Amino acid sequence: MHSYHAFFIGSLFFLIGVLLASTKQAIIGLFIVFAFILYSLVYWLLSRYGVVRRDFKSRFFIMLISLSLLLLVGSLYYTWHDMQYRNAEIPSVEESVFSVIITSNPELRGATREAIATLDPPYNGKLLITFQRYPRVYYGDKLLLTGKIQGIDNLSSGRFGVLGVHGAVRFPESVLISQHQASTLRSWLFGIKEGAIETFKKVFPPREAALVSGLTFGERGGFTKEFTENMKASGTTHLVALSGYNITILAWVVMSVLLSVVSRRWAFYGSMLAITAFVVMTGAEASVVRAALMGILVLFAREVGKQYDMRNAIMLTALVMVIQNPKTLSFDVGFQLSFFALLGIVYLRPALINIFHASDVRGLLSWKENMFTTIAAQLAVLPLLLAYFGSISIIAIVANIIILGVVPLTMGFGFLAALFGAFSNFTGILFGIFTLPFARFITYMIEWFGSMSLAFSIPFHIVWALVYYCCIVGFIIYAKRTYRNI
Amino acid sequence: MQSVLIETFRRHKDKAILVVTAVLALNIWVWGIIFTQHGNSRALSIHFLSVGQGDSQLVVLPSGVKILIDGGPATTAASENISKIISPTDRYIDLVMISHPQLDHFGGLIDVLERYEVGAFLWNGREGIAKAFDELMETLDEYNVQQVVLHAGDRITNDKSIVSILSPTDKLLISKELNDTSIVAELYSAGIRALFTGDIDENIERLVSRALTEPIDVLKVAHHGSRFSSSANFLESIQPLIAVLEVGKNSYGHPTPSVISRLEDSGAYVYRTDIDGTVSVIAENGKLRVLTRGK
Repeated sequence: MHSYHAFFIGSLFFLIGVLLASTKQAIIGLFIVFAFILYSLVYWLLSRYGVVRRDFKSRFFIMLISLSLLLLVGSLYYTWHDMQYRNAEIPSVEESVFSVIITSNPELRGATREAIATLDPPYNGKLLITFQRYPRVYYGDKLLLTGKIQGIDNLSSGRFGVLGVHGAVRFPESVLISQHQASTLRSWLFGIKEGAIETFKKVFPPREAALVSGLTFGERGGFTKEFTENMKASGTTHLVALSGYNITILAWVVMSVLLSVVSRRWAFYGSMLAITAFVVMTGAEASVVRAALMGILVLFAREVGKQYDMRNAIMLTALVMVIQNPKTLSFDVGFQLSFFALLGIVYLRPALINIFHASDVRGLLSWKENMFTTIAAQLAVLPLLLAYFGSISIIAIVANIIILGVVPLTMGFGFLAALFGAFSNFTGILFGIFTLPFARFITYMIEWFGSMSLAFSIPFHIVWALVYYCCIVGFIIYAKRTYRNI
Repeated sequence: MQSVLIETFRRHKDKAILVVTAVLALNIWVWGIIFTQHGNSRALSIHFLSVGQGDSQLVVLPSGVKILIDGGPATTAASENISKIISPTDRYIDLVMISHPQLDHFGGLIDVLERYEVGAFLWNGREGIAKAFDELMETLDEYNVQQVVLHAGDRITNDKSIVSILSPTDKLLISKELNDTSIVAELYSAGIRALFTGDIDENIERLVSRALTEPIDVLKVAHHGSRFSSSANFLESIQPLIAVLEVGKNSYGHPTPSVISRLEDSGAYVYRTDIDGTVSVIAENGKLRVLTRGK
């Protein structure tokens, strides 16, 4: 068996092990492992007595044992990681006084601000803290807080496990002790992002400022409730969730700017650096980490000249992220949506293009390309959307096709506005004015489609989801077999 | 996917030129707006912004000078409303005034300061107790906004418009009750008179009515329609033509039914931002128009 196949299948079983452990379906895992071992033993016994051929068996036997071992390792890893996670000492009294350092860039959410903070000795662990909008808290602030902590046992641990926090506090009384108590580098990177968002605020009306901040940096705090509802109803929320699009545009802008001054090799390093900085700057959300890892892999492959196996790249990316935090697999909605959408775009899209005999012509503003990409991604994430949000928007496909054509331009100019805004207010505003009509177009479209409210509520059942995905996989295989040019 | 994008750009250089031309054309359009904007309207407009439970009014004088009185609670509501009224390319507000340092009056101003360049900040000099007030002061220092303290007797003039400050007096300024320190301003412009009352109660209303010599055309109802304000005597002495309540969801019972009936009994046209949305009063050529944006 080729090494890359081995890698793929091995990683897959490791991930299945993690999944089973996280959903506490140990029974199924044990069953699979037991079945494999039993099968191998039976096969070995049968071959010993000449009932079946011998040489075929040994590799197969080794493979089954390895896979079941990997499954076990996956489950054990998850369990070990979870044990470490629960090993925190947080204040457990009703109202307590404790000091923390803010270790995430506080996120604005309407009238409140949310941040992750690390507890100072004698305690240890992390907390998710919700503050009032003012006074502002910053990354690196050391605060003395008085408040009640809700531990993980009281809350659904899904989100908290993903964030790695051990408790939550709402609106504690807070006194600032000192500032700049965390990483200087991250402080600086956050400063760049906040500076860019400030530029957008000065240049655009509030709605468009929020949109451009969302498109370029995934910043969602600036949206009003109505606009967020409109985005949900028009199926365009993903536009302001960081993804491959952002990474692509960023890499493109950085490469273009650098290639004009340095060699290709240095431009490549510059892009990698920019992508990494961007991930840190935006808070390392699952979707952007995934996109960044994939992006770096692609750039790397191109530079080194090796052939790039998409399937293994996706698997490697997933593996890295799950090893970093095993809870991501089952509990991070962004992670799941991001990967399913990617798989849809990589595998389902070519199948659709072939079935409909669509030629290579892109159409005005790439509408045809966008249509297939959108449909493929939407089909791939449909069961997830139903499971988590309860409804799907029919208008989403049309809305996305119309809006996606303009998004890269808006993002590109947005990045440039932010870049030039760093040097001088005036140049930032200049680029901002270029961007305004496009940003306006997008906000108008989102509000128009959002007001149509053609959302469908369909009850979700895991069996239907499995059947659905089997049909999709079947369709992809059929398209591949029939057209043979994927 | 990334390489495809880069390759695509290289291949479609002509399209790129098209895009640049389009952007240039858009620029000419946008800058055209800016240059044809000045001196368009000689009307006075007073906009009572729908910011939820809180006060915020944007006054645009016939000369084009913009005065923002209060910024509502700590949300982006004030900025959103302002962006719908003035041109998106207009990033300057001449004067920002707070009636008194309570969160539902100044909370939204930090956001306004982040978005707009402000000429000067007017206040009564009395510091607020909320931590957010320190934040507001720090933001003003950060953006180097000039601060001016106003008391009863001060005046602001611009072209033919006059803003007279009727309150607070030195005695009221040191009151334990922050509401008593509210700046009360009477605007005379385009032939009409408007009264901005902050959160004053009936006692201060009595003092204010003594300082007024003419009836008021447009009244910003004091304290969101609290029953301790807008006394029948006060309304009888100022005889407002239009009365606007700035109110949102609240647990104080604002506006109280008694105040609404007092306003209606006085013969005023009553508007409220929780039902009518942003209320815009426009005075031009001796005529008054009221526009509501609805909820």
